[in-house]
Amino acid sequence: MIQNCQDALAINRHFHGADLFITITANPNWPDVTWELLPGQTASDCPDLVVCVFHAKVAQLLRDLNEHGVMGRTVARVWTIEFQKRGLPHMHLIVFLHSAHKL
Amino acid sequence: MVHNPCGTQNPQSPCMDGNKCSKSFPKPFQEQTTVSDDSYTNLWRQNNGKKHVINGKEVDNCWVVPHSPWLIWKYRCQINVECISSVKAIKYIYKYVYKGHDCTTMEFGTCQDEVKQYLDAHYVSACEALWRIYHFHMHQEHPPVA
Repeated sequence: MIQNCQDALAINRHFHGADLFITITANPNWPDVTWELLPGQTASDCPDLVVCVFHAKVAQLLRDLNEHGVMGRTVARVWTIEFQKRGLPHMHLIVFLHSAHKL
Repeated sequence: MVHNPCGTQNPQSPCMDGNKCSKSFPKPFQEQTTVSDDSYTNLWRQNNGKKHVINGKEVDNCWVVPHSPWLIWKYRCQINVECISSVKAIKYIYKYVYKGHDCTTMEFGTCQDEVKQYLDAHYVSACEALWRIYHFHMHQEHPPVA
């Protein structure tokens, strides 16, 4: 973990500071989750479903940011996944924008 | 996206630390965006008199969390977007370096040995276990640092 932190700080120095700090939290009421539940089940009964949907959403968010450039052209990113005590995953993402799009 | 009303309106809110909100909501109105001495940004909050009622509580611009409407519209979940003005954010996401893993203390009721009655353990929730079983990445740094 120390190594990752130092890598992130090296990226930060090389790209002259980070620009955006994005936090995305899983939503147990996503239709993608609720449609697949059996009658009477709740999202907390199916952590496998919540995890897979969250992973897909995160992959799409990274594609939107890095390939489609919805926030401007990006040059680097650093992210980690964390879990709340009760289980819902969330992602902290730091985005480094191209010098032409810096804030 | 707004912060769940706390303070005098809702003293039982989970963000309350004593009688203050740990996220310092409601934030004062700002005529323009400024960077304070401790490198936090105070975003522009217009006092336009607009109020909305959420869960029976009245909220205005003081309660708004920085966000991107397009991302919330597309992903239908809580997405918080802030601009960074210092290196602290990177240290924040790697806080587990300093904090260690999620831990728990379990108590076993019937055991006679008092030492064995308590067990300090590494806490892995169901979601985290499945995330690791599926071999999904826990973090990524791109581009790679050589």
